[in-house]
Amino acid sequence: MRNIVRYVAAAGLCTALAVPTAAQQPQPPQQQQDAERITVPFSDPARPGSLKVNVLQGSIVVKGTNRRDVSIQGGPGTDLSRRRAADPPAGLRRLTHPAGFRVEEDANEMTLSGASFSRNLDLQIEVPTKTNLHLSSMNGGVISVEDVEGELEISNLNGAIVLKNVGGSVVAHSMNGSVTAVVTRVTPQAPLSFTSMNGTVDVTLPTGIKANLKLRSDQGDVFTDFDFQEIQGARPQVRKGNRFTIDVNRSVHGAVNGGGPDVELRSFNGTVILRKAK
Amino acid sequence: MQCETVHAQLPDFLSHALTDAESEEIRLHLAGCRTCRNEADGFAETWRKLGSIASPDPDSARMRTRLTAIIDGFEHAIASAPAPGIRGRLAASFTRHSHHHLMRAASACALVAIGIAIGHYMVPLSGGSEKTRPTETSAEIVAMRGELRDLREMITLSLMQQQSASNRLKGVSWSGQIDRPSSEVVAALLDTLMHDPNVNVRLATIDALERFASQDVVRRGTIQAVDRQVSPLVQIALIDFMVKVNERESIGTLRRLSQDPKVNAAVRARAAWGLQQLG
Repeated sequence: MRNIVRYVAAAGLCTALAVPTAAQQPQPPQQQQDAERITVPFSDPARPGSLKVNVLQGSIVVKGTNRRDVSIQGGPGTDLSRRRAADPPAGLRRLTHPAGFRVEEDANEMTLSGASFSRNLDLQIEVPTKTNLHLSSMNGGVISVEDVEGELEISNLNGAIVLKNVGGSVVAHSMNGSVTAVVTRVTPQAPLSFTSMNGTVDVTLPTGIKANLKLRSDQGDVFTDFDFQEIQGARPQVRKGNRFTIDVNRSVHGAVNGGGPDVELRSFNGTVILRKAK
Repeated sequence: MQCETVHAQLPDFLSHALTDAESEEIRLHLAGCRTCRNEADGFAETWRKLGSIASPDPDSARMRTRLTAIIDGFEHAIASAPAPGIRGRLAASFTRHSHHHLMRAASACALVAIGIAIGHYMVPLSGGSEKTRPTETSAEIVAMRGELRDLREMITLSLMQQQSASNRLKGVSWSGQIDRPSSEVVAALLDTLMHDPNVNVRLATIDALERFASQDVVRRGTIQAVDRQVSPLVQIALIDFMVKVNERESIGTLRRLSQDPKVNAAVRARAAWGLQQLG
C-alpha cells in the first residue's frame, strides 16, 4: 500500500496572522516565535521506522523518547552570525515565511528536507527510541543524537557529531568537525565506523564488545584503555624481487574480547580516542 | 448491399458465422460484383492455408521432466534444512531492504545451496555405512568448502547492494573472509569505491582491496578513483594505497594532484609525499 503523507509546514505564517497584537506585547525570543512544530506518524508504528534528514545549513538535534510518531520543530536557527531576519519596521508585521521544511512518509520511511537553500534551519526532532536515522548537514551546525537505537548513518561537513547513549550500528563521518560517541548497546555482528578529516574522534564502547579494531590517526595520536591484542601480520609486507618492505604505518589493528566485526576509528589531523564504558 | 458492408462481413461469411439470410445476401452480391468476388477468393485462399498449418504438439515428456526437476529441487531444499530459524532470518534480512526481485532470487538460490550442502554432508551419516572412505569424504569436504565459498560470495555481493551503510560495510568486510574470491567480488569492491555515497564505506573498501593489489584492474581502478573522489580522507587513503603497492603508473595522477590549487591542501601535501616515495 502506498501511503504518502506530505506536509509543508506553514505554521509561521499562521502565527504571524493570528497574533497581530504581538507588537505591543513584550517580544518572545526569535527562536520560539518562528518555530514550526508538527507531528508526523509512521504508517506502521509497530515496526521501527527510518528517518532521513538532509539540510544544507543548520543543526539537527534528535532525541529518542517513548513515543510512536515523530515530532519535528524547525526554526530559522539561533546562529546570529548568519543572515538574521531584520526586525520589522515600527507598526508592521512580517508576512514572509521563516525557514520552511518538507516531510514525506512512505512505507515507514520518513524524509525531511529543508525547503530553502540559503536559510539556516535548526531542527529539533523527537523520535521513537527504536528508529533508523540517516542524517546529513553541510554547514553550520552540530548533529546530535541521544537515546536512539537503530542503524545510524550520520555525516556532517563543517560541524561536529555528538552521539549520546545510542545503540545498534553507527556509521559517522565529519569532514571538519569532531566525532564524539557513547555507544551503549551494539547489534551483534554489526560493523561500526567513526571517521573525521580534521577533528578528534572520541568513542566510548561497551566493555564486553567483541570486535576487530582498526584505529588510525595520520597526524595525531591514538589512545585507548581497552585490553588490546595487536594482530600480528596486520602490517603488510611487500616483496619485490630482492627488495623487501615492511610498511609500518600509523594504523593499529587489534582484537578485543576475542575479535568480531570491524570497528574503525580514523582521523587524519585529529586525535583518536577509544574508551571503555564506565 | 454496399461493398463496404460485404467487406466487413467477409471473415464471418467465410467462417460460416453468419445467419442463412445474411450469407445468402452476400452470395448474391458476390455474384454481381467482380471486385468483391476477387477479394473473397483471396480471403478464402488464405483461410484455407491457415487451416492447413499443423499446430505444434507440446513435448510432454520434456515438459514433465522439467516440472519434476523443479518440484524435486523444492522438496530437497525443504526436507534437508534442519535450521528454519537461520533460513528465516537470512531470508528476512535479505528481503527487508531489497527492492530488487533479483536479490530475492539470489537469496532463494542461497537457500537451495545451503540445502544441497547440508544434503551432501548428511548422506554419509544417515547411510549407516560403518566403513568411512576417507578419499570420498575429503572430496565432499572440498566440494562443501567450494559451495560455502560461493554462498559467502553471494551474501557479500548482495550486502554491498543494500540501502543501509552498515550492511554495505558488513559486505565489504565479509569480502575479506572469502579465500580466492571471484572477479565479481573484486568488481563489486571497485564499484563501491567509485560510487558508494558513504565516506566510511569507501574507506573500508580501500583496505579490502589491498589483498588484490597485484591485479591490474585494481591498480587501474584505484588510480581512476582518486580523481573522482570528493572526500579528502578517501583521496589520502588512496594515495597511501598506491605508495604501499608501489604503483608507478600513478605518478602522473599524483603529480597533477600535488599541483592542483583546487585540491585540498592536505591531499596536495600527501600527493607530493607519495611522489617522493615512488620517485
